[in-house]
Amino acid sequence: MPPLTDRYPLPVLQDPPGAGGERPRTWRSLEELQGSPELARAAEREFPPGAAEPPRGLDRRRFLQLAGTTAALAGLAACRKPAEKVMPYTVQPPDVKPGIPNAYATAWEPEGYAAGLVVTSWEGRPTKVEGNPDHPASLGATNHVAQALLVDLYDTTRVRGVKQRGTPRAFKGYLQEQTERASRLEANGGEGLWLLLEPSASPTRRELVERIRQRFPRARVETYHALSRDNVYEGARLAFGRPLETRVRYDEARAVLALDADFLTQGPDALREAREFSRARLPERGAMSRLYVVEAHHGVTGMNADHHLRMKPSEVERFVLAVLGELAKTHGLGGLERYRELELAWPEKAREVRAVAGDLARNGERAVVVAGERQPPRVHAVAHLLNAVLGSQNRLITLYEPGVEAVRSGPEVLRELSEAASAGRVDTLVMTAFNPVYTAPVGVTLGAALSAVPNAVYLAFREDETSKHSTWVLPAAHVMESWGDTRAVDGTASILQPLIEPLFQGLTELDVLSPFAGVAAQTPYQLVKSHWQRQTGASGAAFDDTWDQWLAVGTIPGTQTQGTRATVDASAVESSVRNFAREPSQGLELNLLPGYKMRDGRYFHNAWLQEMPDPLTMLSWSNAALLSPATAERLSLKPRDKVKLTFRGRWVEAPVYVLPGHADDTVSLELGWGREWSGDADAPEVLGVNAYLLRHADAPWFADGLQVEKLDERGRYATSQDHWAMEGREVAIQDTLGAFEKKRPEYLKHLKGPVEELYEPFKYEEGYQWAMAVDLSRCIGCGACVVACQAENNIPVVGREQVERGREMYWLRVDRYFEGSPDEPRAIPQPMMCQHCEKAPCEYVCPVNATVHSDEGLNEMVYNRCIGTRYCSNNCPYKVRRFNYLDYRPKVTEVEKLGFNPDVTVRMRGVMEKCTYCVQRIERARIESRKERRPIDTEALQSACEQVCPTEAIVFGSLHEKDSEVARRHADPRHYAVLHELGTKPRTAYLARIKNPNPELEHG
Amino acid sequence: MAWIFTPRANTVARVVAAGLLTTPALGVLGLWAYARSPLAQNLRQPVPQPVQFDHRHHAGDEAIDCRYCHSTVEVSSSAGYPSQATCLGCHAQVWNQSPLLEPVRQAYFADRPIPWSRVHDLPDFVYFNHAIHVSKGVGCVTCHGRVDLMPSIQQAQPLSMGWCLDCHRNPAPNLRPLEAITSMRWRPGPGDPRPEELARRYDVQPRTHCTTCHR
Repeated sequence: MPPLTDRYPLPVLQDPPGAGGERPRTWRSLEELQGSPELARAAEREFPPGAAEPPRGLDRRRFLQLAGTTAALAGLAACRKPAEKVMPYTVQPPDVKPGIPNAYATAWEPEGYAAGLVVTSWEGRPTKVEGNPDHPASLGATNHVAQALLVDLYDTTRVRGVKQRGTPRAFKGYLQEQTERASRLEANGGEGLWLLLEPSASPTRRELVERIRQRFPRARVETYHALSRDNVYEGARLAFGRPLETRVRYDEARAVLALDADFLTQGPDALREAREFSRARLPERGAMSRLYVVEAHHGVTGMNADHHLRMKPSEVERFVLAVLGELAKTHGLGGLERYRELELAWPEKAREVRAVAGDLARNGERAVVVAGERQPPRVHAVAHLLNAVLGSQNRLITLYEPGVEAVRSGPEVLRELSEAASAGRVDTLVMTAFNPVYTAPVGVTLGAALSAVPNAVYLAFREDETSKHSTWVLPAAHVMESWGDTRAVDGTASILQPLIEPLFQGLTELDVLSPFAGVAAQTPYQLVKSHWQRQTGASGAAFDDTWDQWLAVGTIPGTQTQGTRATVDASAVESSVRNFAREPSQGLELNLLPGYKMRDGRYFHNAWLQEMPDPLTMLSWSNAALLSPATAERLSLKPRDKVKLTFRGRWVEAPVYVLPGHADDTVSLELGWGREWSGDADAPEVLGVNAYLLRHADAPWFADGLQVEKLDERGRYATSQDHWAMEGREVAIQDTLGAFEKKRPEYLKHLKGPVEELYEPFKYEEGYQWAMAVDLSRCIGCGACVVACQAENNIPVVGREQVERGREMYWLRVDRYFEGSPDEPRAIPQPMMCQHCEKAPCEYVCPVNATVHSDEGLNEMVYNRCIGTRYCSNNCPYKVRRFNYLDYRPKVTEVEKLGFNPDVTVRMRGVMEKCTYCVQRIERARIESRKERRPIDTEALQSACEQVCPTEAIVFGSLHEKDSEVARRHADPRHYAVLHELGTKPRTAYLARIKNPNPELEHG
Repeated sequence: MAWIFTPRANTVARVVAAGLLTTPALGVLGLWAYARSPLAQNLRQPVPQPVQFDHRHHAGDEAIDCRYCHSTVEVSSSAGYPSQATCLGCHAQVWNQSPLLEPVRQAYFADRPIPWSRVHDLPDFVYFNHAIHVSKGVGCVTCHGRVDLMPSIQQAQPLSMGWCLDCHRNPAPNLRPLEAITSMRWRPGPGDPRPEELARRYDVQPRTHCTTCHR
């Protein structure tokens, strides 16, 4: 079939004036780039094929029969509406007013360190998580995982009650038995006692662990995390002689070299670093920073790089050494004299090395090198060395003493445990680390070993592989059900306070450890409070006041530290560099990644995170084997082909996903998948591939020697990258700094300004004129806004099959575009939601006036008028309207209902919905201000996506306030309207994404 | 051969035709009338409650202010239902042996809520806010009627969207001074400010856009 533009020669389908060929075309998938006929056919249709079909297992006839019966029964039963029940409190708590949500400050430990939270609670039901603006590691933002924490809280598949070998027991019974056992163990110094804990910065836990160590000197207290930070600490040990945490001021940096480091989304201070990084990416604020990312896969930080240098993961080390050599030889940097004679060059990458080293040398103390957690200690040590000689260690970097126990905590720990247990040397094992049996590396048969432990205690959030082999299974409390404490990287301490009584009798780590520390009589609340009481030295009522103050603010004042000083041990690093023996990487390399959404697998059962599209692959509900286009071609693999990945004699089968920008000869696989999902489906299905089956203790992240064999089957995955296609129009705009500066006064002139109109324009006279602006230069594409929108607006999860059909319900999606060649593309993330057009095409076509415009510029959606014609969605050029094809909440339990936002209607089947600019927040703010007869504080009024954004990419506000941030951005030279030529006059402005590439690498 | 259609057939045909035309019209009219009837609007229907609470006595005879029990009406969307502790605040002293109060005492000491039946039940897609109405001079009696005369609470107004909009389009006739906001017997007197003056004084600007009530 000829393309749309040929069949319908309408002006609106032609390229808008000024667009032609200036900017490379953007594309979302290789299929789109290559013009796959299936995709073209799909794009012809407004809705994907089969979009209107009922779900599998219920054909149309059966559905009509059921519908008829239901209607008849409903008709009889509905003569009188049953009276709704109202339950007042027996004694009303003084702080609770029905209808007014409360907010409580608490914190959680995403990577062992604190991130502050403020949780909204309606009459004791937590419904929304926000970041704590006063917490240094949050600054008001959260990541996507924190937004989805509530799903875990209300998950009915959690472990309920204490069980001993499957028999329900009281927690008191546990305390009694373990106290007795502990006194028995005390006799021989704790021989046979093992503790397997997660890294945690909790001061109270540290105190308990210290007590246990003193009481049982021969006990083994080990820290384990499948995604351990061993390399970070080992690297610091090598460079500084002791483990240290590094924090970088990216807003001050002018050149950043990230060595396989996804610092924008991973690491204990990622939110703050992402915000500071984004502030250095604005051309109007003077010098922009330049980011080089060296990595194998294409991660979120890589997506934001000015230069994404692809290489096998094992070659990153060679690259940084080549940079080191170049800086020593060519630039003669002081402090690197001893490397001048070393042969460190890498001829194949000479051009990149020269450019990177030149940039680092030029920027001196404002240039920084950061290494990722997966890279070996030597890379970290060299990074520290380079920062020291460049001078950035003093200017941009703060070093902190680790708040967690910086001990070896990788897979090696499990091997030792397994050996000890199999040999019968473990009598009592207390595990609070996440599912060690599942995350254990190849060759460690921990499950069988655990069965030999007479007293294996496991604090589990859900029944899993480890709980099957444990003697005692204790229900873990959710972070919002727990008392506790924690510290941020900079030392800032926070108290964790519960938002709700444990729903399933959950217990905290402190509960579980208490009998061994000899404090079984104390609750976690008492333990934490008494710990801090001792710290302050205050007592009684005076301390109670202080304590209440801490809880209210969410941080403990005065606990922040200034960082520490350390000097790089040049000779230690030198001997390490001299020992570097490059074994050339042979053939294909296996590259294991921490799960972006699953982490080590602990969020596998979280439906929001399952459905959230991965920022790069847009995969939901599974992982896939990621390959570069060139490698896929060499191996004659197509997307969705199933392959057998064989590594050191063990194999898994995975579908192929061809990821533009991925390194050649490398296959990346995310950890944390490949387990049974029992969610809604009648038959549990395995989602994704378990990459732990290929993980070896000596090669926890990457190694060569992978074999890939194509199978005859086709694999399956759900990716939304081609949904809501934009047919190659100029939607996501990215330019280089040079191009922007050159065109500045006229920049994107064809995408702003007045357009011809058929209808008289409506005069917006009311005070507030709601509008949004999305700065693509700041947006890093992390996807936190997607989940925040879901939480705020009661957006349902539709499931894997429905995502495959293109029925995902997200009001806000983050489209990911590529620009350039498939091998070396530049990625552009673009949050896309209802644009609230002043001339909204959807409104003209609704036959029942279910979507109308307000005098304040909102495109309103009235669910109770909607009859589901879907004309509006058909006519929406931005493809942001979502239709409830099915009842997505047929089996919602009473517990899950607690998590709904009561301020937003839960939509039923057959109704259209879309972004409302969080109108419930507008109206709440309006009522509050009208009551007090003052104007709305539009700066304090935030939409959910704006509030969560770590990088301030999204702002919401009113255009009538000329000095507001949203008005400023609407007048920014970089601003443009998506599909401006259609004359829809959207209220959401986008600011073009400006890149700052190195001219040396740009040409030639 | 006899005629198939006698002259009477014309009449029959006319009557049938008229019937065919009028029946649906009457049906629609009937439904329309029903929808506006007190029965369909739940008006004046006593709702059985777990406790025989009598507003006549509390709000009428004792003249207890509405806000004593519905304490969040000025701050929250919900006016609030009194907790059992509020009931027993007085009834620990007066009528503390009354058998009518037995369920309240039981609920209080068992720490179980009393499951009251909602009388003014708006559809779930309507977000009504008490506080804004009360602070703009719309009195309790305007929507809830003469509660002080009701032995058991009944719905006094239709609470339909049209009824809401009538006032949102022209609020002045329903405004009263804030001092008389909970009064059941207030009538505009000669010394009272005119409705337009009240609207100006309280900055009354009701909105009629969909998202004002539907979100």
